[in-house]
Amino acid sequence: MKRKVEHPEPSARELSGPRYWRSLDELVETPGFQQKVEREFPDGASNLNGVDRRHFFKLMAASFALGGMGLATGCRRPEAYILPYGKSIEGIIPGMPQYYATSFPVRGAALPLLAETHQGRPTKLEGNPTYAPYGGASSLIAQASILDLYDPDRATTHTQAGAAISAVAVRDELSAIAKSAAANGGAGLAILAETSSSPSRARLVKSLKRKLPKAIWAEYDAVTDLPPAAAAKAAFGKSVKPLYRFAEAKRIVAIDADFFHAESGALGYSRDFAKGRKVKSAHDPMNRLYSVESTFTLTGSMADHRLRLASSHMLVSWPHWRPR
Amino acid sequence: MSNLFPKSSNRLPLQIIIFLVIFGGIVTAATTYYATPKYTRVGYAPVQPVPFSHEFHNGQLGLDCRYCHSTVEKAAHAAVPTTQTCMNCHSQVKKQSPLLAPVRESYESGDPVEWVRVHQAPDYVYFNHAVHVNRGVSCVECHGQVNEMEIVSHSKSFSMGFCLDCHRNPAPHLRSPDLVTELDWEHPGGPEAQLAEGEKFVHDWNINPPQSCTGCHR
Repeated sequence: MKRKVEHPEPSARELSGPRYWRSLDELVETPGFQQKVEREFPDGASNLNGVDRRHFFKLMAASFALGGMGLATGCRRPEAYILPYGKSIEGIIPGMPQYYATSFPVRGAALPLLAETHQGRPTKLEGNPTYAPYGGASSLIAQASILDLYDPDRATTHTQAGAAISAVAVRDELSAIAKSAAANGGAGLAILAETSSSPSRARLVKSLKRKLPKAIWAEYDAVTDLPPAAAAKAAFGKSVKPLYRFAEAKRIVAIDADFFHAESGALGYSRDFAKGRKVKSAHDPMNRLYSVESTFTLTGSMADHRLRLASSHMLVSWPHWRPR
Repeated sequence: MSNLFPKSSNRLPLQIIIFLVIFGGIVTAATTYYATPKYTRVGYAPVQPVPFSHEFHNGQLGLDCRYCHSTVEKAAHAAVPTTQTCMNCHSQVKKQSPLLAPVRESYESGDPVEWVRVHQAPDYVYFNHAVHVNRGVSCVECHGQVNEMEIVSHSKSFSMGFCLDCHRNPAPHLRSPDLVTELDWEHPGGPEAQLAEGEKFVHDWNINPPQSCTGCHR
């Protein structure tokens, strides 16, 4: 006997509260959508497209029979080849991994890593243990970034207006831009880049600004975790970048700041925070973490006191908030 | 009451016997084939793209095995040398030899010389050259007298029994690790002295070769 599940009637709160929807079709309740919802499975889900079952079995039986014919030759082992390198590559021992130090750029910072490679192919990233503040740790995004190297969507060529162009054409184009910019000191020229902590790039930007004083060098990140330069200036009187020392803090207040996970120095911060938490004797102090946040984060889950608050309300209400 | 079994079931005992005879025949034939040297390829000596003679280079000139198979002490895999290793000498010696044309071509282009594999452990077997060589198992124990081979051939069976013979009783097959590439070496004191020394190595280095399935079939 088929059991019929009776869903409870929506409660008054559900009816009066905000109505959520998952697609535009659901929102406007199109007839096609209603029909789709009523059916458990979409039309034709149980049929193979273009092939009927009997025909499929016939084909498979014939394939297996033909595969069996190959057994006669399959008994003999195939001839295998050993293909060594044509030119020796320094340090490579086939079958043994090689490790390289590298780093994963995180906005204005970098995460030191060790990359394991097998015959030139990177396979695994781990934190570099020689960098003491992070202690060999790495973040999940840094770990996953190894897949970027094998991403089929990775750019393989230069493009201009969506069309692939050669490296020579890029150089021609750039030298033409440089020539026209040099004529008027770079007026009308803007370069957009991501933020970077690379000293080499800072040096290049400096020399570019000296050469083309009117050109605009703009840095943009979709996500930023630094307080605006104006805020730092208001608080400290000069343009500074904060470096938090959670190991020494007694009380920590995080306002919409997920310094355990989302910020660029998160690995160091979480280790530092743990140092302030460690209690070795009965008299050791212990830090206390207050978190005000608009979404549930690692910092919030670690906090001793957590207040859920919309970002828009934070600056207004936080001075009045007293921990329970 | 009708019969429980149809009449055709009277023939069933005979059919079962015939089936067993055929099945037994197949099993016997398969075992005979797969467990004999023909399948384990003893004597397999394929034609190589370059007629490299181990008998000449190692036996007469005295090049050490590890000059070419340089990774044997460090890795599981004893690598076949890169073309550049050949050219270390052959850029000076026999520069014009037509037999070396594939080597010169490979060195120019960087494409590998396609050496035909002679010894092949199956994929389901883990074998590590380094641990054997570094504990005094000579090349000759598995590969035979390569220093006398004009053309390399498969000289031992490489069956599981072959591996286990040594894993169960390693002492007669051990020697000082600095002698592993001396394929002609025999203990000056004869087999008894060799055995005594081997037993000393087994004790001193705590040599305990795995005999469980997972030792090799990892």
